[in-house]
Amino acid sequence: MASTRVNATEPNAAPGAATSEQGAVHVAPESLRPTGPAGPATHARAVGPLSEGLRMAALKWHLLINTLTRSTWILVGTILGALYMLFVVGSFGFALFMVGSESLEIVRTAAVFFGALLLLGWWIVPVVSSKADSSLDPSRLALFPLRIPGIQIGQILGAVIGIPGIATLLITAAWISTWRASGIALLLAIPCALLGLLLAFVGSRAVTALSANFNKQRRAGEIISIVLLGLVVLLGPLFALIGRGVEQVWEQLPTWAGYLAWSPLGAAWAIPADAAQSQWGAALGRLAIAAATLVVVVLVWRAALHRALADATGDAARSGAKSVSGVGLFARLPATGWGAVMARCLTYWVKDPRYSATLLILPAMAAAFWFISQDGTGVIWILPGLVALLMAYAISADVGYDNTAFTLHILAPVKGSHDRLGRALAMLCIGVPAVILMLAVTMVRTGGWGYLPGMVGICSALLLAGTGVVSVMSARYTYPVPPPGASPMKTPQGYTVLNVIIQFVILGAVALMALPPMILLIVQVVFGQALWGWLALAVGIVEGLGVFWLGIVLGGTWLDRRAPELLQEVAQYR
Amino acid sequence: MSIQAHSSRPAEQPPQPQEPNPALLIRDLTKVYGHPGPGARPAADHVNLAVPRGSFYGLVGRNGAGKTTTLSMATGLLRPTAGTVWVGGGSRDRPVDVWADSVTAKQRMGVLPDGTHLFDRLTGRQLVTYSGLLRGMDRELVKDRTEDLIRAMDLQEAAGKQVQDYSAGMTKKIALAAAMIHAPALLVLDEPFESVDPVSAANIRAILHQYTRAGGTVVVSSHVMDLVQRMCDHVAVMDNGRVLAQGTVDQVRGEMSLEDRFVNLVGGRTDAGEGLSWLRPE
Repeated sequence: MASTRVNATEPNAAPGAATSEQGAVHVAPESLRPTGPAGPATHARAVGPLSEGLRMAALKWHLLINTLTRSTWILVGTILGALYMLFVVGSFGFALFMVGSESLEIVRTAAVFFGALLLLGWWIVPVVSSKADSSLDPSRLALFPLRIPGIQIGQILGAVIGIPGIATLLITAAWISTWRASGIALLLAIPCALLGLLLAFVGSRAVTALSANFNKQRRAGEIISIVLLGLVVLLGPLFALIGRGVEQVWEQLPTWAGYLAWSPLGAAWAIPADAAQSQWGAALGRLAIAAATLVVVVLVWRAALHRALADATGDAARSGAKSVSGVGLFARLPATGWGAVMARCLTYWVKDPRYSATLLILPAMAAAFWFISQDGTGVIWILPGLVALLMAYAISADVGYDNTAFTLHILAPVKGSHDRLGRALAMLCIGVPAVILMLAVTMVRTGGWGYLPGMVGICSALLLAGTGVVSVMSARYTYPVPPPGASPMKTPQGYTVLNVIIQFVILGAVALMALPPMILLIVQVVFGQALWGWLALAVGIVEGLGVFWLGIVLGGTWLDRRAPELLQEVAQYR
Repeated sequence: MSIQAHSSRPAEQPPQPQEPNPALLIRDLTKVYGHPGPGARPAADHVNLAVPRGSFYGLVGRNGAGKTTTLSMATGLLRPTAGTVWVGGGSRDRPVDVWADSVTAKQRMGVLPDGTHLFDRLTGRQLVTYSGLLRGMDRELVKDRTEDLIRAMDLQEAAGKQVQDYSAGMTKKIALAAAMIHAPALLVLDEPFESVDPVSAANIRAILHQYTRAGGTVVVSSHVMDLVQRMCDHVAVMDNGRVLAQGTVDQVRGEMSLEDRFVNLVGGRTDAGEGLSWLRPE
């Protein structure tokens, strides 16, 4: 379509138009007459892909500014985040700069590993954390007459605009400085870095577009989130293993870098090294690999965008939901207020990924601690207590997770103490077996059966008394959580410093509950008398039950008094 | 009136209204967000409404007129800044202050709030059962009434599926079933026909008319005037947090249609829509 001239100022009325005031014969003003093909084009015209891309980048910029400056608290959070990012970038940049004064082999190894890590980060992290930047989502652009090259350029430019993009640019500048030992390497490093960056951004967008199609099915998204969450938790022991074997690995690193340098991930980052050693053949080979990867990724991205744009309805997923008869737990638990709440909460613990994600972390944690304490460091001793703490803490955002469905509790009305009791009992149905399991795991690992009574006391205190504490505090204070139907890893909007403080206070209060039995257990460890262990058990159980009952009653009273205000608060979590 | 005093004040006697023993009586209900002061514009401004028993009462107004705010305050979901709400209950019951004796008042009301989530990980049957059990009803009674409601709302195939898989019409119907399971004297429905297909809407309307014929009262809020004119026998017009007119539909609309009367009362721009001379195909 040939671009036509656009009239910047449209004449409001042609001179020949008759207005009603004059009372003359009404002739349609020129602006109302249909224009011929040669007339001034006042409607949308086609622009080139670069121009489209620039406009989309401007859109991303506006969105970013609006999001980050929505309120003073969010702006403070943004500034803190930016400072943190600068700190991280500064450390990496400094490290890279220092590497530049080492030998070429070390420089090459570091550069290749670092570049490959950068690429991997850009390709994998957005999908895993569902923080994928959706402001330029294809589904939002589907109705505009944009062409795919324009969208692609727009999304690449958009990737630069934003905190991760800026951080990447800064780190890449530091990466370039690593090659300063050799002039020609430094010169070539600049286009190579650009090539690498392009690979990172394009790959990131391609993977996001691919996963968007997959994510349309509701179950798929939930499964992926939970599996990846489990993997992330398992990274801990993985690093521990690596750290132990790093001595042997150190000599292998340059060889591995060599292999990596011939793969699509590392090819672009190793070219300056070849230039410094005047191995032009290898340099050209790597360039070919990198260029070919870029072409393949761009084509894959185009295909994914085609499909995303053609199916951008954003419909609810077509789910092959199977029908169940009967009412499940509601028929088995007591037909009282707290019984009904307990049945509903238990159903949610199993069915809602925001809750079941917590459950899946538990075996991952157990495995992690098992591996870490391989050399008998005894770190596994904190596992049962940690799990008890986590389970008690888990219901601190229960009303937040209900979101506006909490209106049903207010309308029924549900007595405050019944609400608290139902939620607590539902959690305990899962928490108590979980803690018992963790205790068993710890005992098997360490063989310290003599300390079992004391440990049971500590866990009872944490679980029961902690639940009591949380029942009271969550009746008054809440913090943002993912809304119903969202992925459990989505960071909710509107997080303020106050919310972080609330969470810390709740955690601290629950942990404090463990103090009496823990002191007694320490006495047992120091003096070696089993009596103190049994005392710890008794104290833990009594304290646990007492604070539990107190928390339910007090929390119920607070909830009765404050339910409408609590509803207004949680209604804002979107 | 401070909020502390409001919630702990003993129940007063309701004033003598024109309506003998109304189903819902709202007196001077006000809600001001933020700091009350000369600059704050109230979301609801001294709202006075009297809903006759057995009537189909429509509350109409634009978006942001204060309908949802008023109904939320009347049903116990939003704490008023000032004013009182009495619920009538059965023909032999005394009116009860919603905020002073909320348990009795809420037992007499069935509410369908607008734009709220449901517990959508439950199946439809489980949701209605949950609503019944929460109100302390007997398990067998809940079971029977749940099946009756599911049959009446034509949700037999969907009742076993999770509510998050429902269409908009089905979601409204199941929420209505959950609001009706305890056979209340008063139903308060906020935008019950929004995004509902005509078949489901006819289904809901039939159930509501049968309910009012049996003596129940229905309060419906909507911004679709046609619907209200067809369905309701009483109407109140709200704008900017104030009630502009109330009475029977014929009283309020006079000679015009309800929509024209509304535009007349509210004074909207009728010349809006001009100035778009370029809006035509090229």
